[in-house]
Amino acid sequence: MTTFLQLHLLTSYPPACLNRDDLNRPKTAVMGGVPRLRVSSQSLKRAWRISDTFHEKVSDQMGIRSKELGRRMRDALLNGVALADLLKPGTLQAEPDGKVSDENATKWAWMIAGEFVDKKTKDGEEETEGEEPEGKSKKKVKKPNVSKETLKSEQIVFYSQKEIEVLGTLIQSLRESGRPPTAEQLRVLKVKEANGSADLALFGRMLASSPDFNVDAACQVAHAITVHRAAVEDDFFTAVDDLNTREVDAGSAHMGEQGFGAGLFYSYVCIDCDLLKENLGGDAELTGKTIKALVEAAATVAPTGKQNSFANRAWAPYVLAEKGSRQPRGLSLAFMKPVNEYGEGMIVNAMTALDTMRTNLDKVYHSGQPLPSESINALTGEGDFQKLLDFATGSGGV
Amino acid sequence: MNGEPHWLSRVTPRPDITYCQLVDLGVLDPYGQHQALWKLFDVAKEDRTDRAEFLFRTESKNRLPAFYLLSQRQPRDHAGLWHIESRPYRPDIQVGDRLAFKLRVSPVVTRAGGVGSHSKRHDVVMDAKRQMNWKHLPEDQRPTLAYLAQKAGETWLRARAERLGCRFDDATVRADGYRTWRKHSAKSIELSMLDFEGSLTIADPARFADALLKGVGPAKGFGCGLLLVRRV
Repeated sequence: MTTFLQLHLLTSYPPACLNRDDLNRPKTAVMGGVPRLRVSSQSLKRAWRISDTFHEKVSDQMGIRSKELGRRMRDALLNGVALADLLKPGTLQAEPDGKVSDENATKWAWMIAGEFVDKKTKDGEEETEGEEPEGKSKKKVKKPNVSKETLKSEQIVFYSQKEIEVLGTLIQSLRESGRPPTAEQLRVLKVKEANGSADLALFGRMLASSPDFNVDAACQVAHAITVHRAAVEDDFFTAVDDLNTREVDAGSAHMGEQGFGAGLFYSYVCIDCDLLKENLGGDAELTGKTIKALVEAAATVAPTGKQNSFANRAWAPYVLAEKGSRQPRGLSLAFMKPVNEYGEGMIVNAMTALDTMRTNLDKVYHSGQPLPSESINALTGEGDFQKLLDFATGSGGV
Repeated sequence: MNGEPHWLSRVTPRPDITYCQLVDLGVLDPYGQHQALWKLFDVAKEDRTDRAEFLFRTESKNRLPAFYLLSQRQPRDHAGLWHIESRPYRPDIQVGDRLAFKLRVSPVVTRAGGVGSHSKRHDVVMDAKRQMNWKHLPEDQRPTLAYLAQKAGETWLRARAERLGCRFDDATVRADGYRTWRKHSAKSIELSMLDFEGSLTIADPARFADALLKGVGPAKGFGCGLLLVRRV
């Protein structure tokens, strides 16, 4: 039986523009026929993944998500600095030591980076390229989707900790031998499990070119939506100042005045604990640490959009963690009917709605038997977040 | 843009108005809204001209009307009813500027009438329905009103792009909120409205400025035609 850890969070964000669309407006959704504000799950995941909270807990076990690893590899080939060190923040600059020529470094880095991305199929013409690593017998030559000039890949690729290590080793050996990577060397670059990469194990990756090396995400995140009606008012009035002038920053200046985007958001996260553990190579301790990092980030880290103008940092006043092998279900159903501010106020009403929905679902589906759970409620001061974390991570999350 | 500044104002009910005033505001129809806004300008009745003194657009906030108001004179409230915020309005617009816009219009086409009758204005949604003989279509083949409004509305708007001095960006124009409004009186009024939203790129600043200040389409006295824009 699979064990799922489900998190339900209510978080109130003050006026903010957490997550914008292409017209610079907060993202929205319609639920129950009523407009809501929305924070996309990509935005949430990214915010959590790059947060200090997450790093503190599992910093040694983080993968790298980048389009630019190719460039870093070229640098490593040129100057001999370990790849892992080059990837740390505050990149150190080292001079090329001449061991590998610029041309070779670029070519090799390109070959390596190409292993991790989709391959474009191109017709015959490029067939003459001598360095085609695997000497395919197919008529059409597949070309890696990495620019030869900039060494940037078209997709963002998630590299696991383990892979970074392997890449580092390969780069050192190439520097020693002075020869381009062999097909065999390239073949063993990708590591099947997300071994040692907490974030990769949680959020997964897709390498369309080599599906064997995909990692199924162990964590599903719903788009956070407001529990109440929230129409995005385009503030054309405050935007007039921008319209009257042509400042460099036009288009964003008025945002500071726009008091839009305040709301109480419901977010839902579901973690497949068994898959997570499997992704992490069965490491129960790391699984526990990863879950802890995620729960803490989900409860305390806000998306970073417009953070400087709004300081929209907020802790969730309400977190409910449930664990069990039942089919997981979000509780957004509770907010189909938008919550209003009457009576005890918005937050209490939202908590009540959530609780009622959960109870009633259990009642009709499981004769009233709730899942084991732990919750905190900062309004009434009930619960203990440490206890909730322990509950979530108990026996490696499983 | 020419030297004479206009004013863009946001007009909202004051928080301290009485219950009676509140109720009065709640039931204002487009006609009543126009009259209420007139009172913000000190223009003697006999000085009033056919030319629209102001353009406005009604929004609803907590079920009370709130207005965007564009006028040459700065509006003033003497009745203690409105909270008015005004800003000088002289948009600096150049070719290639990209703007988000919002526009409420009464989109009409003029069709020649039958023999001996005048040509008549039809709103585009009704017109589209008529063209496809909507009434006689089997029910499951009738497109939804929302679909018709989007299609007919968008066609109408895009056809005006050149006249307005802009290009409407692909796939960004949304048309919704189609509704009709009728007032039965000696001079009975029939009106349909459609709300547009999207983004556009400026092609001809002079024409566009003209559209901003003078409005788009008919029914300006009923809250149509004010083109609201902001930079993106």
